[in-house]
Amino acid sequence: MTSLAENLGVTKGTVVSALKRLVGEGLLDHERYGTPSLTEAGRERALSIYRRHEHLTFLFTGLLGIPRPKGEEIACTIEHDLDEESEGRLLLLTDFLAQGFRDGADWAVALRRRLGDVAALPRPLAMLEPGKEGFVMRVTAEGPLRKKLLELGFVPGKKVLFRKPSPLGDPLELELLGTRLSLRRSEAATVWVCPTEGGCSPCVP
Amino acid sequence: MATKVIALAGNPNTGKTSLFNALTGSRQKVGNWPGVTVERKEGRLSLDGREVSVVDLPGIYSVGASSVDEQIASDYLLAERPDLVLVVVDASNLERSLYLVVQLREMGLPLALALNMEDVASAQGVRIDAAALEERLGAAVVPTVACRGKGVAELRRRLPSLLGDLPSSEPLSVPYGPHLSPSLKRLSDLTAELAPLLGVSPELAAIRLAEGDGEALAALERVKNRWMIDRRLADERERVEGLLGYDLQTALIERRWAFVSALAAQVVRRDLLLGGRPALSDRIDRIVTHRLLGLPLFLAVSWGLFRATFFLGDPIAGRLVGAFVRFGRFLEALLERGSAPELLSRFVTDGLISGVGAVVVFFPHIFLLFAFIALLEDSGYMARGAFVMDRIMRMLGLHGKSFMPLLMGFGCNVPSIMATRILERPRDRMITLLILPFVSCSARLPIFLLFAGTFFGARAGTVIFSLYLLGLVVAVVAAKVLGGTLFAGESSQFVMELPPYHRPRPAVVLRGAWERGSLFLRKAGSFIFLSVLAVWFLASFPPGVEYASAESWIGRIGRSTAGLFAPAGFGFWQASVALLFGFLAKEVVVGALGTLFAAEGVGLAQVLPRYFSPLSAYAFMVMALLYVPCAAVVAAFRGETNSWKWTFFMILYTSFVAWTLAVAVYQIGRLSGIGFP
Repeated sequence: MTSLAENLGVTKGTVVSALKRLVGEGLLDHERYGTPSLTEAGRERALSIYRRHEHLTFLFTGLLGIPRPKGEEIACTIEHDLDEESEGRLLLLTDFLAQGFRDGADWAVALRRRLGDVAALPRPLAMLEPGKEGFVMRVTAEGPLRKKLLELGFVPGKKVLFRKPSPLGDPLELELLGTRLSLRRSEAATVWVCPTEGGCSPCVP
Repeated sequence: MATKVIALAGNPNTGKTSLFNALTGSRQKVGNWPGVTVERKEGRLSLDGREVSVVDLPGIYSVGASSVDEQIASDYLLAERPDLVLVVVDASNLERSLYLVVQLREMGLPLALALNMEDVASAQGVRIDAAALEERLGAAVVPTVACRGKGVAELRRRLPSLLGDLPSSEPLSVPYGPHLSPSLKRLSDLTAELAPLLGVSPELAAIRLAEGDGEALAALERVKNRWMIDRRLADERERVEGLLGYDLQTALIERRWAFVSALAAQVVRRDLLLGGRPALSDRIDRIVTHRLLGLPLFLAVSWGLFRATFFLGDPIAGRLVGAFVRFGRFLEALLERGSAPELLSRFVTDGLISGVGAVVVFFPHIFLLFAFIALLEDSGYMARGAFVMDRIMRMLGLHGKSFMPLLMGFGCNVPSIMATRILERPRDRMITLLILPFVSCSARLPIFLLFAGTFFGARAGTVIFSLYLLGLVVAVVAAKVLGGTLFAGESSQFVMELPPYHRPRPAVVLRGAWERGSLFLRKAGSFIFLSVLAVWFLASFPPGVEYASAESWIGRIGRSTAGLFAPAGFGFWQASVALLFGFLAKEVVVGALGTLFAAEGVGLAQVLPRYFSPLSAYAFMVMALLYVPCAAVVAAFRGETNSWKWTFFMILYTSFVAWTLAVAVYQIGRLSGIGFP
């Protein structure tokens, strides 16, 4: 009880009355002095809230490129005021945008540019700054090179570090899965990453 | 009972070669995989008195057909079905190595793992639960430190039982997850006809189709229900794309990697206090790939290597030749005293002795060069050299590693042809091999010195420089043309690992040098020897003729081919014969001319202007620069490509290029009125 209050930054009284309300709605099991635990209905409700939170955070930070603490804050603020229908519509929009961004659709690229958020733009690995890392999003190479890159570990979600270019600017030295690799710039341009600094996290379904 | 076969597989830089050496000792055969310029090593191993054959597969990251190395490995594994595949994995980087292991287990091959470089792993605070790994993979796991022989005895102890009763060869099934499994199931319903063509189960055939394996897709052409599979594939691709947001191939390989990562996480314990790559390696790297220092440093190292090879090699080779000459004289005197016929004594000295001499003369250079190359490769610097040079070499359509052989070519084409072994991809290797003969080796210099000195006086230096430059230009153009025509289909890749540095081991260096040196003697020796004998024979017969005179067979060949060189300005038989002699070694052209014109009674400097104009002299030098390199190069080329077809192609195309350019020089010069006497 005390730790809950501390974590949430509210008084103990607030926690007690909130718990009482949850028990009253049948979402929480709470015996005196025991640890509160969620009922089946409570779990479902909690999950749907969590999902909504995740989706909104993804929309604001991942897609619209608002830096993480701020984007999360916005998500936290509006998620309480969303009714079923508007939530559903927002989720659909999020999905649609995400799909477009993943596929690198023309409109998505244009949208990103318009949004002016340079930091979080997925980009070819060759466009990362030396010393920076990113999560692999997709490989656009074709044929044997594509398979080779994928099998070397350039699959969605893996973290790759661009160490530095060769003295003449090409090829590039990378680090992936504990190995230093050398790729030509043209090859590295087919690996799309999203920079970790832009607040991107691996998004593998 | 047939000899059991162990195939040795693994990623590059995992110490596979060390383990191969530790297992087989000196009982090795080095050759090529059929039809390609990729090295194949096979060794023998005695287990409890039973002979076992060990085949070293190319170092690969995955099986499939996305490069020739992979193709060789997967063809071998599926077609030959070795009794055991011993996979060498890097214990300090297990996750990376396990991808290949999981792929091989999916194929249902009987597997054992050598958990190599276990010492490096412990130093980095990585501990691997070998027993757990053994259980999860269904394959024996033995920790080793192959370069110090640690764990090899244990490996040998376990091998007989692994070879005897077939270890679990039930294929491992990777959980491809709820999104992919239904797709794979539906695909495998259609692959019953395709699977036997690939030598795999229908399930695996479906997986290989889904992951976009080139071989599987190619085999599709040969099945009757191709259109059904094609349509199903298209459907499943669309479905997965819709579900996951990326394509089937990516999804499948991503799932396999996820499985590999999870497996690695289950068996690897990391001590976070120790950790990561050794700091020294990074510090070295900061210097050798430094933005400003990197390139000059590499050029300096290459130049040093070049100088050292010839600085140390020349005197040794000179002494070897001297010894042979003395031995020849000694024999000659002996034969004369025994009043043997003159022809016999000439045969022994000019034929046999100089034939053997022509072979061994290359040994010191090859040995030294490969000692240095092994030094660079073993230390990890070679990869950095390629990293630094690639930008420049790519302009020629070549790989960064091609620089070293090309530079060596200026000393002698023979060791540099062998040095192309450092190139892994057959395409890069073939192009480098085919343009190397145009690089002007030191044996061509005496010809240039003679002609340029005789005809161009003060401008001799400029003329010689222009020839070197011409050789390079022709090489560059040839590289471009070959890359765009004969090798157009294959894309050039530069995916290369930059391994951590480590101290080179003398045993590895000396072994590498000795292997190449003896390989040259065995593979090229007989050809060079026979060429020397053949030329001697042509010059000395029919019996009774003056050596290499117009009446000898070689003289007759010269007379009948002289007309061919008339458009180049040197259409007399002596020039043709000298060029024929040049096949032995290019500097022999000078000696041959001396012999041929001896009848005129004056020195070459006086004789040559009677036959050549400055223009035709230049055309002759162009011819000498570019035409078929010497017998030793041809022999080395044939040894490296393992193909007479390519060797004949090389001989014909270099001759054609040489003749065309010589004629072009002469005709253009004549028509524009330059250089007429």
